[in-house]
Amino acid sequence: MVGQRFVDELLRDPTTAASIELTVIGAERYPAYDRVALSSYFDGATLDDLTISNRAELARLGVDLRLGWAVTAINRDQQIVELADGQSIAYDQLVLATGSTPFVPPIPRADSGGCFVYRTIDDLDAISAWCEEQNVEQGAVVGGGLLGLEAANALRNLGLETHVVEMADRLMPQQLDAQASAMLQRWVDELEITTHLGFATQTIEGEPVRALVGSDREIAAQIVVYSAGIRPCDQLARDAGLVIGERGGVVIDDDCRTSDPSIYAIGEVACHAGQIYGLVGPGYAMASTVAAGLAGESVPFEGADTSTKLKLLGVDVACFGTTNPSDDRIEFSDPTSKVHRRVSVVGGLVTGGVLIGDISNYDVLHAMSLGVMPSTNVGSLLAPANEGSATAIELPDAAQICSCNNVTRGDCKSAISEGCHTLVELKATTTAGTGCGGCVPDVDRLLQSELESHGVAVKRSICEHFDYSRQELFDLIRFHDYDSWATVLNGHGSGRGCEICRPTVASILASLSNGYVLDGDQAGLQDTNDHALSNMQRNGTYSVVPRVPGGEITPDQLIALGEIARDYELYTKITGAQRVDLFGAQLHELPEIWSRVIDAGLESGHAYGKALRTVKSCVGDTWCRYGVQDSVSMAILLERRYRGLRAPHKLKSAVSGCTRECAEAQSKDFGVIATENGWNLYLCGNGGRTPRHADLFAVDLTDDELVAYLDRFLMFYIRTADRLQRTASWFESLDGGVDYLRSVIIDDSLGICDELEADMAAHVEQYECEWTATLSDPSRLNHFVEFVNAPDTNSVPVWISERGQRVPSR
Amino acid sequence: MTAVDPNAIDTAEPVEGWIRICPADAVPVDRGVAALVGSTMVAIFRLSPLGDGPEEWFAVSHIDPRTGAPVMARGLIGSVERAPEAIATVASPLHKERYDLRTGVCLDGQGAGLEVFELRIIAQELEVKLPSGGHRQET
Ligand SMILES: Cc1cc2nc3c(=O)[nH]c(=O)nc-3n(C[C@H](O)[C@H](O)[C@H](O)COP(=O)(O)OP(=O)(O)OC[C@H]3O[C@@H](n4cnc5c(N)ncnc54)[C@H](O)[C@@H]3O)c2cc1C
Ligand code: SF4
Repeated sequence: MVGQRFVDELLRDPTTAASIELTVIGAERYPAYDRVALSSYFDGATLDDLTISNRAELARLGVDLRLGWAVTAINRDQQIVELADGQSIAYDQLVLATGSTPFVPPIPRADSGGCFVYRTIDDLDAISAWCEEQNVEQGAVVGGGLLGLEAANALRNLGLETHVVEMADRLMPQQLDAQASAMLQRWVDELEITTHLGFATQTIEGEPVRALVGSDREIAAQIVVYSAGIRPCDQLARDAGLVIGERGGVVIDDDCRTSDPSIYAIGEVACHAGQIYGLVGPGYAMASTVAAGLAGESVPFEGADTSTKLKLLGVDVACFGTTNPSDDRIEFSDPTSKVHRRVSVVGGLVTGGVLIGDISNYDVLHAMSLGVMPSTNVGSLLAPANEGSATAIELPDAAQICSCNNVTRGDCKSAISEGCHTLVELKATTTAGTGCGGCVPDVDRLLQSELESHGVAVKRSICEHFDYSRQELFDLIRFHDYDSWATVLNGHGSGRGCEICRPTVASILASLSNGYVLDGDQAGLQDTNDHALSNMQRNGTYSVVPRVPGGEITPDQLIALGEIARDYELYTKITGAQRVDLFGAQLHELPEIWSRVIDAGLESGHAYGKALRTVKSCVGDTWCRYGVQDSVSMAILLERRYRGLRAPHKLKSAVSGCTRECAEAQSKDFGVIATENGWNLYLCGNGGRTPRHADLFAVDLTDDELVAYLDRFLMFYIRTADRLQRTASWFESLDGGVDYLRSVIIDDSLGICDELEADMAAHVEQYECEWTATLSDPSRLNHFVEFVNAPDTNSVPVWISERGQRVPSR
Repeated sequence: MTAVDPNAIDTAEPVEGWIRICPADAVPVDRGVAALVGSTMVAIFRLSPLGDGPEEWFAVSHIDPRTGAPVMARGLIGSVERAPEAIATVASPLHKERYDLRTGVCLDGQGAGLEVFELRIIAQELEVKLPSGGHRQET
């Protein structure tokens, strides 16, 4: 990661880029990717999503990129590095950014089959492959630190019974004191991850692994993940005779130079002033230092702040500054809400602290610990956030806003006053928010308040072509009954629109039931997937997802899908939403493929639209011994009712047949759980990157009540949410939370329930399968011809075979 | 069915001069189409008039510079208001970088640009010209 950052910084200046001959050598097979977000790979993020290096751009700048090759030796006399295949590459200046390797404790049979570390994409692939092949049910993580807990969460998400063993007497012993750790423990316990404290792993039992053995107990596990710390990858430097720190790491000075003036070291492999930094932020600062140095400027690296603010297992955790046992402490602890907040104070000044479960005012307290603002009102800042008291505190300019890239509020403010008036511009200019992205909401808030104070009108307008928010645009279109792009643009917009407002208007027109989405000028509004009514993949081919309401499918339909996939050589995968996804169809094949899908009695699944996906279900009381209602029938009823409903973002749903909740309804935008007396309705949950448990909205509903509330809820969301805002974040933005939502939907406090129901009735009435509609009109098939002047010729993607199926070549 | 391999270097006969593509009317407004000129894949855009102006036509490479996928004609068109005039754009359907349709320059970041081709309408027929001396498809 740090190496990539160095390359980016170095090449940013075109003269440097032109004068330098740069070779990048990486042992991993992939272009640089975001290791900080590694766990999201198990959450649906793809390698593409994580990739932070732009290969095409590097190629354009003439960078020689050698991936999958490890440097085996540095020959300082001849100034060459040697690669594993015997090649050597000459250098004038060498930058080591080899990172670290996970430490595997020296115990017998530590390397038995089924033992892994958690550092790279390959590690994650190996872990999930092992779990699948070996039907692993129990897993253990060695090490209860930050990364160990992250690894544990990953195992848990793979569906394993998960154990964490930690040698110390508490979790995250490096960062947390006993009390803070105890509070974190409560969160961990709630996730049903079993923790074993004071557990010294003595040996691994079995080949492949069967159990982890400690002094007083044995933990059954068919997979073990070591997360017992990291060690700088400094062997190359050691062999080359560079000075190495006491606890490892290549010793560097403030210019990040090693003991050899033509060799630099940056990132986790470097040891600066006796300290090795295991975070990207300091690494990025070192990358800037070296890039500036090579361009003839001096930007010394003088150590870095190791404060962190992160979401761990869904819990907000922040640690900052330093804490000594003799410091005065101000603390707040509430075991019922699992919140612990403490700061250390010396001589009246905040020196450090820990926040668990509630990190409000972190930025203020952190700024105090750095001495950039006075330590006043610490007690009331520490009290948990209660409604209304929201931060009216002015942070000083020196306070950091983006810790990944060490950008201060002052940096952002000056960029704003120099003309950065959009978030995109501000991020590009200051790099704030381009690391882990956690600070983006803060950066946006700062931007809005600065613009306001500069007298720049703050419009929540969706883009430069419309001076309206999505909600205002929706109201305009609904009020005027517009049915085309031209009428909307002429009435309220300017220019030709863009890739933001065009799909937004397309979605609003579709939500308001304006007919086939590729007719008339709506054809030029549809985003990538809607454009071809199928999901575009990275090589320009498409995937096809038929609707399988409630996940119920007949054997004949399943066979038909299999035959279609076989005939068109489509890569086939079962999705998390109880459907079948067929990948690799070319544009011109789509009509034929969909026509066969429809012949098999299936229809469009609208996976390509920001629309209702699936209503997942468990088998319910038809089969299950525990079921109390027919969850499948209810799921099918709801899916048929809301199919094709376009919304600001995709919508997911599920119905469980009893409180055991096998369909995971509480992680959905709307979830339904059967009770003895009817249905409980949960709203605004989310899985994925930022999980949110849905709120219980109403209990013991009849079928009719359930449908009425859902009609109103969905239309209310569609009317009022921002572009690409999922129900979970929309809910967070509603003043008054679930009580407010109940007042609108149940008590009709806004007097709009009739309208909402009428809009939904119009949708249900006018729904048609978009592929049936496409195939019924030959002129619509023109959209699926690849070359306008050569209808019988088509491009040929390059395929390779993986596990017996066809996939795009890399 | 004939095949065009997007990753193969063009070995076909060089294509010279103006090549007829299709009747201008066959190109939809504000939604691109791809055309095959020799073995070069070209994305063609016909943009509706801005204000009282004329319709505007553009031809650029159909290959997405960032991924090498033949998809640019399936991108969304738009405009960026940059004084003194509005720049007509197309956004890659894959990662949404916008390109200036007149020059091919990438407007988001420093990524590679799109190759642009000459285009004209003669007797209601759309014609495209590749750079002289034949053309190699960039991937
Ligand atoms: C799961 C996880 C979560 C994390 N979360 C956070 C977080 O929330 N916040 C945070 O600040 N940090 C986090 N980190 C740490 C962060 O990822 C690292 O600090 C960062 O990746 C360090 O960058 P680097 O370039 O020094 O090392 P790396 O990113 O590890 O890059 C080093 C590269 O060098 C290659 N290499 C090594 N030796 C050779 C050789 N001889 N020849 C060629 N190539 C070689 C390696 O294969 C590797 O690809 C996390 C790490 C992990 C694993
Ligand atoms: S949720 Fe209840 S009814 Fe449905 S499968 Fe699970 S136990 Fe059975």
